[in-house]
Amino acid sequence: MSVQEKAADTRPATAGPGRPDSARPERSARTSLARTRNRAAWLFASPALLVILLVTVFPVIYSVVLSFARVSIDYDGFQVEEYTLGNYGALLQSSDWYRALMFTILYTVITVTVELVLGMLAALVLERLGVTRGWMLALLLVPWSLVTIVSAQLWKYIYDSTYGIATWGIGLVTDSPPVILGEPVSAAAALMVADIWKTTPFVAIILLAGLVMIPDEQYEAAELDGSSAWSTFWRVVMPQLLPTFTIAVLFRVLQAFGVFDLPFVLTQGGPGTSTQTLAIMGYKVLFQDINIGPGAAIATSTALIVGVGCLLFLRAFRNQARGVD
Amino acid sequence: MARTKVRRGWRRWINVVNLGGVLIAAVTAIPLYWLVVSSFKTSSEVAASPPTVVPQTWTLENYVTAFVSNDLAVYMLNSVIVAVSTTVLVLGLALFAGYALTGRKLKGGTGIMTTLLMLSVFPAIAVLTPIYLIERQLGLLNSYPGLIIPYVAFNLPFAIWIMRNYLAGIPTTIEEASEIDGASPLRTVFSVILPMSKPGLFTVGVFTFTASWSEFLMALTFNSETSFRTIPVGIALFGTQFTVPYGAIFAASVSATVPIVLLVLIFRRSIVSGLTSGAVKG
Amino acid sequence: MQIDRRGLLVGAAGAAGALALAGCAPRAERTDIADWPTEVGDEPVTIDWWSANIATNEGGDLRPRLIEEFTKKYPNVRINLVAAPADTDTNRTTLTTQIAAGSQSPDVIHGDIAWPGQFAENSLATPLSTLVPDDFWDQYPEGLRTAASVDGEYYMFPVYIDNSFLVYRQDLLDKHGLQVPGSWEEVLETSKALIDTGDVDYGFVFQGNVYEGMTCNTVEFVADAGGRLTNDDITASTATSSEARRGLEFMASLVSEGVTPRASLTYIEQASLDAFTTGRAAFLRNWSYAYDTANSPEASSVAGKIGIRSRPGFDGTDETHTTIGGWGSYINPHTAKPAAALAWARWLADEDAQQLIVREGGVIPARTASLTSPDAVAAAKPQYSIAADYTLVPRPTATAFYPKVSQGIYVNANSIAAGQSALQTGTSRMERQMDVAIAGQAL
Repeated sequence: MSVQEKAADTRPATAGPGRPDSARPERSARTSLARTRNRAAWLFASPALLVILLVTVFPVIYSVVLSFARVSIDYDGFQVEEYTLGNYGALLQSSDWYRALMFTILYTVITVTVELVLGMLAALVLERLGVTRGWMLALLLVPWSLVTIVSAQLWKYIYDSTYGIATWGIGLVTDSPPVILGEPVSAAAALMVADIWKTTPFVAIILLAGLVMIPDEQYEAAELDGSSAWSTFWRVVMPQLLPTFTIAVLFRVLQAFGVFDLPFVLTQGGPGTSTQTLAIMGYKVLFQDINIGPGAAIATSTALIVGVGCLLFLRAFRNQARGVD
Repeated sequence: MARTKVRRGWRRWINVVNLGGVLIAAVTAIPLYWLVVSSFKTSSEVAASPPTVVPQTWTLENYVTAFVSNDLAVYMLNSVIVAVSTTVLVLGLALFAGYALTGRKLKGGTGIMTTLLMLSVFPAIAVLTPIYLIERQLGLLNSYPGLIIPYVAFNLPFAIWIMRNYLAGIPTTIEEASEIDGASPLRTVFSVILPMSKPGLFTVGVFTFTASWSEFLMALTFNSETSFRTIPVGIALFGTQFTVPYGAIFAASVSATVPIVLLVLIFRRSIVSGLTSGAVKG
Repeated sequence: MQIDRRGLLVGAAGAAGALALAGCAPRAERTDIADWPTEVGDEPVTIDWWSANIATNEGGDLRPRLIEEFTKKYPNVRINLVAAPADTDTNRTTLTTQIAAGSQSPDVIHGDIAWPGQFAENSLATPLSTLVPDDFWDQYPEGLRTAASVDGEYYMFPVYIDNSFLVYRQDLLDKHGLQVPGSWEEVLETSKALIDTGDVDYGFVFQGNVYEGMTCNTVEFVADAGGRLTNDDITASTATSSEARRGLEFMASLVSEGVTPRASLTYIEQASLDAFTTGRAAFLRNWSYAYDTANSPEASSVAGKIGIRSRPGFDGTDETHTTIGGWGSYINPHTAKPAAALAWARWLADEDAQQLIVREGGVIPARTASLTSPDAVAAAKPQYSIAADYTLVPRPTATAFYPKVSQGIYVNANSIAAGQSALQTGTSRMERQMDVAIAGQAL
């Protein structure tokens, strides 16, 4: 939804989308053409939209329904025993759920912020690299393309309390080798470092694309004004970069909120439940405890939080986009 | 550019940018080096403390173990089948849907695009439970369609976004010329649009393949049976009750990662343009 | 003719929905327990056996040997070995996902002795009582029979028990003229002495990670102090009792006095064994296989220098305690090969397999007669003679919500041992969380 497109959309509405013109015979020919196009467009788009609808929207509705049910399992499947608010009650009384929610929010805020800062710095460096930029981009794409589980196993090895290289390295400067994954705070930090390492390249590439679009004249004008690098950044770069920046934030926040692979391998939500994200908790409740109703409640509440967050964010972004224009 | 002192000789190369570049390269490359190098270490050296930077003995035994004793070949086959099928289906559906959303063919197209963007990064856990239960009732668990269908659905939003942004760059005059020639919309797509959309298709193809190859949560939940496991699940569940064979895990990891890394490097221009088209044109 | 595009969309959605809910693939027929065939025919049949590693005497894999012996008796039945994941919790989760979904595979599952409670509640295992004669179960010790059944109905064929032992560096004790400790207090002192000499980094290591293994250790220490963590019929937690407190206090003191490294609180079995076999620790509590592995030159640098004894008690007590570990066979209720599955599962629990375990296995057979048989005496495994004197302590597994109860135990025990929770608050929280779990309210 670029600004140009929105402007284009607010044309005067006629009987069908088409160029406004006043020649009648041409008009009926054109609108029937438009109708053909329209029909064809719907036919073309329907299969894809249908699949998305069936697999994304329909299950969310199903999940909402189940979250209000008490479910039991027998040999042939599961039975809904009764409909109740009890699952949400259990959720709201569960300190584990609050902890998972808080941790997921904390995790999202910290990783996205650090990635944006580091990604911005990396993008700034990359922009000024000449010949080597191509090689650097290629190198940066490698962590991004790593299978998440592989990256998680690698970092688990790095953090291993007996033979991990990070443990050994930190042990050189502390009294005794740390048990990185065994303490809540260091385990959380370790998780975030692994995520940041893998994802910052992605952020850097997106920001770089935005950076290269800034015309040189703007830099030169700022320099003539005697502006320092720091203030140039805030007065020239950031305003131009804002749409790109915002999209990057949105993508990353949504991804970080649902993080599963990394904590699953690295900590299994531990020690205890200190690095348990909402996704890990949802998985455990449903598949370890085979507790369908509460599992659905966790899924639904997560979807709700994400959905509300998105809407608020987009509303703010629309205002921003209008302001920039 | 601001005037700076002109430095002579090797000092020319020392500036913030170059140092920054070196730092970025080092931070990125060191863990990767560690991954690859550890896959060639013997099991006792992998567990050595302090760790050895360069292996004292290079060995291929981990690769042998990974493929022979740990079913890695089966996992790779499953991953290939699932990833390829998903990619083909996504390409087909996204081409048509992306085309349909260009121009002003559809009323409410902008709204659909916005919704698709949000759906493309929706946390999977929100839909995992119901999809699992539905697949269970339908008997789709531990099967290929059981993974392919959700994968297609989850990759379509981003794919449609990319295709649409790409196809929007094709001038409408070409479309109209085809219509005036009397071609049906279907023919227009096949003979006119398709040949021009190859770069966009490459982008979508690489992204979808990579995403399907790496997907873990659904693969873990729906296809836990060994004969249908994909690589990420296989690697995550490596080992026996009391041992965690890191050497073999890394050998499997490297084997599973090399195809994707190669794919990504070969098509890196497509990927960068894909990542940025959403950001910049959006 | 106008195609109303909205109608098209709705129609398509409805059709797809109807198709989806009608069910494209019918669920497979499940064998009713009343019709379960007990005779294996002559036609070739293959069954999938889901199993993690079973250790041999030398730290190898016993599973192929078991399969080999079985095939001699039932030549037409082929056993396909399916490797199970490393950690017992992950093992159970991936398994329950499959079986709860009605999967016909695996046919026989080698599972933990702690699972019958949850499996019975969620219809994940076949009830076995009607499939074998009533006196079949008399072959096993009482504690095992209780663990394998729920409300009198059996769900598991026991294969082997595991007991935990204290393994130690005999060579270092000899070198410094120290006695083998006879109580936990002595373990503490001796450890400190050995650490001071610089020959070891750690005194005593165990599995203190936040997982099921920690529950085992906690139950053991609490039993050493004379208590239990729940009442007899598992309706309430007794974690705040003075005995339970004493056991947990001791675990915390191990760490606070430097005898046990903090690293031990992240150890699962492998890591704790590594610490011992690389010579870093003087004392190790681990399962039966650990002694064999630590004594094998290929796997350990301290082979031939070690000793083994039962876990000691506190000063002034005679009884020694171990928790009942153990594994056995569960039959998938959705199996398509009921007779073959039954044959395999039963064979593993019967005399032939049990004797093989005695002769070649690194684990303790479940069958009482096998434990005292001539083969067992001939094997001269120290674990067998120690096992005879042990008092077996069950974990509170006979509840449908055991995973959550266990979580309440191991999360708080780890926190108390690490010094993160004070004893008072930690045990109160443990009791509260266990009670919530027992009531089925835990999330």
